[in-house]
This record gives sequence, structure tokens and C-alpha cells, in this order.
Amino acid sequence: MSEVLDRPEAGAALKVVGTRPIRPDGVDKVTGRAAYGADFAMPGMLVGRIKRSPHAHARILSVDTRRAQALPGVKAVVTAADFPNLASEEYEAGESASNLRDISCNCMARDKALYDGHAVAAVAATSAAIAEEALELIEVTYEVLPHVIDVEAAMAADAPLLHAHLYTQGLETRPDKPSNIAKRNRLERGDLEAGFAAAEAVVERRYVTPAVHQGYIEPHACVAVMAADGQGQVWSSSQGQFMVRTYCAKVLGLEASDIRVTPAEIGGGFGGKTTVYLEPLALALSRKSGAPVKMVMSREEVFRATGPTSGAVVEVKIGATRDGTITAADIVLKYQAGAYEGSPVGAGSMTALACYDIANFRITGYDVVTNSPKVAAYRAPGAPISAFAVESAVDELAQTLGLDPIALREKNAVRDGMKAAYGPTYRNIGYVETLEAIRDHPHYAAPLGPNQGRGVAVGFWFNVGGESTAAVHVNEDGSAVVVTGNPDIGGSRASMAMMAAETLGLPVDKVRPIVADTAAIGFSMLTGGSRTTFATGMAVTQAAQKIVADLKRRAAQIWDVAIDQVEWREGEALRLDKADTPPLSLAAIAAQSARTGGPITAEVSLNAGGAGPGFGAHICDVEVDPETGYVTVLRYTAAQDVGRAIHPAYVEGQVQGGVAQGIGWALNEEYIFDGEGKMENAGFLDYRVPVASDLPMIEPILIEVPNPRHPFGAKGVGEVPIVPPLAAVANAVARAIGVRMTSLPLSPPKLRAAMDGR
Amino acid sequence: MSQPHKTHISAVVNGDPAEFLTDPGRTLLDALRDDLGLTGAKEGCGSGDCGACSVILDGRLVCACLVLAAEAEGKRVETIEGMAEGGVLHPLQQKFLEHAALQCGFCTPGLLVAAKALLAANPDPSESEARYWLAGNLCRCTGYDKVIRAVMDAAADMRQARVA
Amino acid sequence: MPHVLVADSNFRAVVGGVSELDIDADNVRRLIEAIDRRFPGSGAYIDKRMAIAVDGEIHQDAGAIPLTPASEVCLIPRIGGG
Repeated sequence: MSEVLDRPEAGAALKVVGTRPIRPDGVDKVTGRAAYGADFAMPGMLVGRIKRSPHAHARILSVDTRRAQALPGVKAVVTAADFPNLASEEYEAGESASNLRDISCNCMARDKALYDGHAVAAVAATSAAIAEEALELIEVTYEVLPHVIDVEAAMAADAPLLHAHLYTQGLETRPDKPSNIAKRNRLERGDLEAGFAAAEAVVERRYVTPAVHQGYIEPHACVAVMAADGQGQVWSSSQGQFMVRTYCAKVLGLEASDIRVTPAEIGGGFGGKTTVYLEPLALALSRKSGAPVKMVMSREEVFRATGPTSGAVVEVKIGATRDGTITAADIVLKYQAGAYEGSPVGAGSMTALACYDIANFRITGYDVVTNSPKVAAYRAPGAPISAFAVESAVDELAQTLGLDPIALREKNAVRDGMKAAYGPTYRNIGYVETLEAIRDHPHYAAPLGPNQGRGVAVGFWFNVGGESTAAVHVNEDGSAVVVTGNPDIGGSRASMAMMAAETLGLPVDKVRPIVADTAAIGFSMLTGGSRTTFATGMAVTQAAQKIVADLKRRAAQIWDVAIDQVEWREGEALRLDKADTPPLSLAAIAAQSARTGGPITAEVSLNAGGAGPGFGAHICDVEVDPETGYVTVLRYTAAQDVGRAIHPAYVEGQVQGGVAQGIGWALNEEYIFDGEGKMENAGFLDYRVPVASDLPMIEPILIEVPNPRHPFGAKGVGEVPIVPPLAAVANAVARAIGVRMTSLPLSPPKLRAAMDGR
Repeated sequence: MSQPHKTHISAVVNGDPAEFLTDPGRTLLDALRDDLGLTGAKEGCGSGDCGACSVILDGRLVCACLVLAAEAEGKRVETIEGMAEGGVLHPLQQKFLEHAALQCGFCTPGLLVAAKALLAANPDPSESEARYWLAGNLCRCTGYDKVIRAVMDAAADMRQARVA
Repeated sequence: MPHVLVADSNFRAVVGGVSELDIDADNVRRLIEAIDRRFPGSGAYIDKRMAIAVDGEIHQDAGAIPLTPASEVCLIPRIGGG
């Protein structure tokens, strides 16, 4: 199947990978020329708007759209009746299996509204004003039901039931009554009782984290057109154009090949754009009206109706002997799934103890539906929550035992050859190196002043591989184009160009990367899961290697020698049997492509396995104002095992951005619901994300323990950085004020109350 | 319902005369994006909290989503599209690229316009002054570290160019 | 004979509650088929919902990956990122 390809020589000096060229799409982005989802327009385009439930939980008795349809300027109105009534079916189009019926009902409510903001109808009209007037004319009768949002309240036996047919999976015996608990999972090892019996110090705490939103600055936006021939086109801000195509096809009952999705530039995703909200509605409205339809969410809609991540309660009991050996851990995680099942409690469970080699543990996770927006992936989904709890407990254990928090972690650290808490044996991991990096960093020894504290925390994320396609085309002048199917959310285009340039031996500015639509490139899994540099980079490199093999064949033909007399080095073919022969540059060979077999192109599709997991270790210094409880982050250092930094500046950027989101989660961010189940802070004024004056410089330490499965040793990097900060900040605060804080966010009133209670 | 009477607005946008018709209730942001095709300014929130729509109006930094289109009558508007001159990037734009001070790039136009206003008001800001001035421009990707470095570096270059 | 660890409590219910298996197979596809013969329906479950780690490397769709008698295979839930 695959030919033997040249591998980059181990230890050979790299000329492009590891440098910091200006990103190829950079000028577009600093001049305002780059086109994002809402920047696109088509002639005759209509404006689409959504009518949303004002109730957190209600039966939808009727939806009467006649008056809206009659309004001049309204060209189409859709409700659930315009979508096929899908059977419950699991389908993998994002990164993990999703229930198609749930996705369809989340886009357009059927029978029940399950959260305030749930879409119940949509209109397309000739102007935004007319569309909004039409929404007012749609009459919906609801039977309001009691609602439940708090995760433990939703688990109670007498809680209002969201789904009549939801029976908890994963219990020893199948329950005879439905509940809001969709699933229970469990991970176990060893003998928990014996482990705790051996412990000389035990920490037992309950931790609470709120629902937080990914907070991308660009609201969801798309333009869709469904022509009379049944062919659809979608221009969408999304993390995956193939995912959009698949979900739209399924939700609308179309063939995938009937829909062509072009990815717009995307203004942030972080996992929140790995699903669809608007696209199926826009296509349905376009189909009905015969015109293109543009739909853009308002900021309020983004908060009210797109997935935040879970709010959660995590109970941790952890024990160790006096010398710091952790002997037992018992963890219970309860995660909100929002309106439909599928919280990241599984990943939260699997990552909770991933940094620790513990002989005895039990981890139990509950996936619980609640009357809040359906939860969507958010950067290392599930892991920051469990890490907050475990890392806080470990820190408290360190304090109780009088041990240095880094030393305690080193003592129990996982290393190559050890079994992960979630099952497989670790290979080529760089966890201990991250601990050593922060231990030896000047930050850790810097003196602290009054009201200041220092916190340490670690974190883990799997990183995924998956399916990617890449094509490389050599132009007649010897430059090249790299085509992939992964939207660029963090500078990945630059890395693709760099890996291709390195392999071909070209300067990076002679390699142009583009992100293609679903018709122009083979299937690629979406951008997320820290997979793009790893998996798509692998496909890009292999495609470039195929090109190199082809170039050598052509050079051999031009020189009329056997191919084993040709070597490719630094962008040129060298003749080995007559060493004084002038080399043939890529441009020279390209100029003769017609005579040597035709255009020079290669495409590789693969399913990348062996993505290496990532580890991070962070130090955070804070100062707490004793009068107001206000927390200032003074200094932050983040070490991470990145495999190989293809473009170090963008790797640093991933670390800094994830840290900033984690700090926001720790200090400010939360969904606040009123008694009716409506979000009270659905805007950036009161949903407070970190601003420039909240943060210091964030120092990343990139540790390179290469992943042998990737041609350049890369590991995924994007998600690990958000995992440690919640506890790093909380641990720093605990040490600053002398009180252990177990409930996020660490807002000033909470800290004031804690300090008052000292 | 009868359509409100549209107003004719004449302004100077990025140094060139520009005109458009607008409903009285419409924002400058919508007029720039939909009438003049200047889609560099973005709507991130519509309520003046994120700064993605930052433009400079008669020399003052504003959120275009909080300015009525009609208020632009007779005024000078500077957007991201006017920042490079004749195909030559402004030092801030160049430094943003060199420092990798953008990831998704959505907040970048607003940040650049705001930074340009900062350096016009204060050519030698401290790190703290730069952070507080830019506190009205939300970025979710970068954590602001490289943004601030780029702004300080551009400020230094611009001060030097002024002296030279 | 490759040693198989079942590291997912929900899947364990599908395979009669066991957490470890010894299955004779020389690649992952045949291993899954063998598990499915022993526990009918488990093959579809694995294909849809699980990832497979072979000697520490995680694959979402493992297919023809070869196994040796000393291979350690771990069945874990599929992971989604953000």
C-alpha cells in the first residue's frame, strides 16, 4: 500500500521547523481583509433570525406561524415540522459520537423547550427589522414546567424530568424509573479500603465549579443557499467543514454530496464550534425561500443558546503516607450535560489521576441533564474541572504533610512504562520534565510579599489523531501549494507550510497553505482535540515526502540514471555517480514536469494513531487585597511537554491563551441563572473574561520530548494549558489567605467571606 | 408598518469621502460593514463591551456599535482598512505579525485601531498603561502577552522614526 | 496471546463484567471480531464508542494494526477534544 518513504534524518538540523516565520495569512488578518462568517454576502441574501423559548422547561403545545408568514418581506418560516423526525442514532461527525436526534432537536426544539433560549422557530426576511418583527408575530403556546439546573438537584429522585425515556446507563442493574442521570461511569484499581487504611493523612473535600462559556469573540455566523437543484452551499464559521456537512445532511435528510461547505476564517472556537446551531436552519430557510440566507447570532444568543461547558460538583478523598506516597483516591464527579446527554464527565474521570501513579483508586462519574444549554466541548473538555479538584486536594495534602507541592508530585509522578489511570501504558511522555522545569525556574524561588501566595498545579490531556487529508501541488516555477481541510484557529496554516517546506527543502515563503472546502479536499476530521499539527501535519509531511520521491524519479529520468543514484538534499536533486553534475533545483524539475510524467502533485489520506498525550506544570503567584478580596495575578509560568514546537511562537500562544482562559474560569467567569432559569449575565459586561489589565506576562516553557509517531516529533499542545490554571490560582489564593477555597469563581465577596471567617 | 425615512450621510472614511443612506436607528458599525463594505470592524457583542468594532471618530477611539451611523455626518472615520498606507503596513501591524500577536485574528482589527489611538495619545506608554488602555479590547486567544509586547515594540520603533 | 484490558465500566457490562481478557489474534480487527464472537454485539459497541490503545498508543480506529503475543491492548472510551 505505501511505499517506503524517506524519513527526516534523526538529528539532522532543521531549517524551517522550529523557526518563527510570519504566518502566511497574517497580512489579511492585520488589515481587516480576512473574511469571517459574517463578512460574506451573496446577492439577494435574506436575514435569518430565531425565535427562542423564554422558558427553561416547557412543553410546546403549538407553534402558529401564519401571521409571521403573511408579513411583507418574510420569505420563509421554519419550525420542527420542516425537519425530519430523526430516530435516536449515534453518529460520529465531530470528534466523538453524538446523538443525531439530540443535535436536531437542539437546533430546533421538537415537543419540548429544554432551556431558556432553545430555538422554536426561525424566519428569513428581506431585512433584520422585518425578521425581528416576524418573530414577534409567531405565536407559541407553552405549558411551563418546573425546571432544574443545579447538577445535584437534577440528580435528586424528585427532580423535574427532562426526558421521559432516559434511563441511567452504567449501573449494575438497569433502573426501572427514568431520571436525569444519563450515564454513570467508573474507573477502579486496587483496594480502596486498604489504601485508605494505610494513609497517614487524608484530605476530603467537595469542589464546585460553575458552567463557563468558551467565550470566542466571534458569534456563530453562516450564509447558506439551497438552490432549486437541491444543491446546498454553506459558508460557515466552524471548526470543521466536514462536520458541518455531515450534520446538515443528517438533520435535513440530504446526501452529504448535496452540500458543499466552505470554512470561513473562524474567530475562535475552543471546541464550541465543533457542532452546528445555525447551518441546518439557514439551509432549511434557503430551501423554502429560494434565496441565500445569512444567520448571525447576537452575543446574548451565544450565551443563552450555545454550549457552555459543564458546571460540576466533584468530591475528592485522597490519602498519603507521611513520606508523601499517595495510597488511595476516591473521586466522584457530577457534571451538567445541559439539555441533552453528553457531558465530558468521561474524559474528566479519565484525566483526573492521569499525572499520578496511585495503586488504589475509584473514580465515579455522572452525566446529568439539566435545563441549561446543551453542553459543548471546551478545550480539554472535562479535564480542567477534575484537575481543579484533584490538584487542590493534592496541594492541601502537601500542606498537611509539610511537603513541597512539586516534590509531592514528583514522588507520585507517572513515567514511561507506567500504566495510566485510564488504562494504557505511557510511552515517550515528558511529565517529570515539566515538574523539573518549574522546580528549577527562578519563579519558584522568587520571594513573596504580604498577602501574596504561590500555587502549583499540573494537568494532562490525551490529544487525538484521527483522519486527515493533505495535498501538495508543485507549481511550474518551483513553488508549492499545500491544501488541507482544517480551519486555522491558532496559526496551524503556518505550521503546515513549514512542515512541507522543511520536507521539500524550500524556503517557507515559497509554500502557500490553503484551507479547502468539502468538495476540494478529501475528508478531514475537524480542528480540535489538539490534532491538527499532529495528524494533518503528518498527512502534509507524507504528501511532501511523496513529492520528493517523485522529484527524485524525475531527476533520475532527466539524467538517465538509476533512481538510487539520486539524492534529495535542501531542495535539490544531487547526482551520486557523477558528483560534479550541477544539482537540479525543484524549480528546474518543475519546469520539465510535462516531459517527466506530468503535473507534480501528491495527496495523502490517513487516520493518525499514536498521538502523544501532553502534560503541563504551572506556577501562579497572586496577591489578595485584604480589604476587598480582589485577586491580582502577579506572575505565571507554564511548563509543557510539546513534543516538538513546529512554530514556537504559536505554541507559546496556545499556552498563554489556555492559561488566560483558565485564570478567567478561576477568578471571574460563571453562568448566573435567576429563579426562572434565565441567564442573568448573557453579555461580556457581566460575564467577565480576562482583559489585558487583568493579566501579567505569561511565561511558557516548551519542553521537547519528541513523539516518535510524528515525522517531526510534534505532540498536540492546544488543550493542556487550560487544565492546571484553575487549581494553580486556587492554590495560590489558599496560601495567600490561609483558607482553602473549593468553589469557583474566586470572586471578591467569596474571598471576603472566607477571610472574615478565619 | 412604514419604513422610517432614510438619512443621507457624508463622512470622510480613511481619508476619502464616503456617503451612504441609513435608517436613523442604525449603528455606524452596520453602515461601515454593510453599506461601505468595510468588514474589518467586527461585531463581537453589539454592546460596547468587547472592542472588536473599534474605530477612530474625529480622533477619538469609539466602539462603532455604540455610535449611530447618523453621528458620522461630517466627521472623519478611521478604520483598520486605512491603517496601512499604500500597501505598506503600519508599524503596529508589522509588529503584530512579527510577535505572533494574533491567533484567530478576530479581535485584531479592533486591537490595532485601539493601539494606534493609544500611541497617538501617549507615544511612550508603560506596560501597565498599555494594558489599561487596551482593557476594552477582549481577546480570547492570546492572553494578551504577545499583543502587549508588539505594542511596546511598535511604540519604540515609532518614537525612533520620529527622532530620525 | 495479546492481553486485553477493559478500562471502561460501561463496556465491561457488555462483556459479562470482565475487566481483562486474553484473546488470540494477530491484528486489532481480528481481535475485535474474536471479542464479538465471545460477546455478541460487543464488536459494534467497540467500533462506535471506543478507542483502542496498543502498547500505549491510542488509536480511534485501529483496524489492521498488528499484534504480537506480548501486545498490551487497552479498550478505552473515545475521547473528544475541544
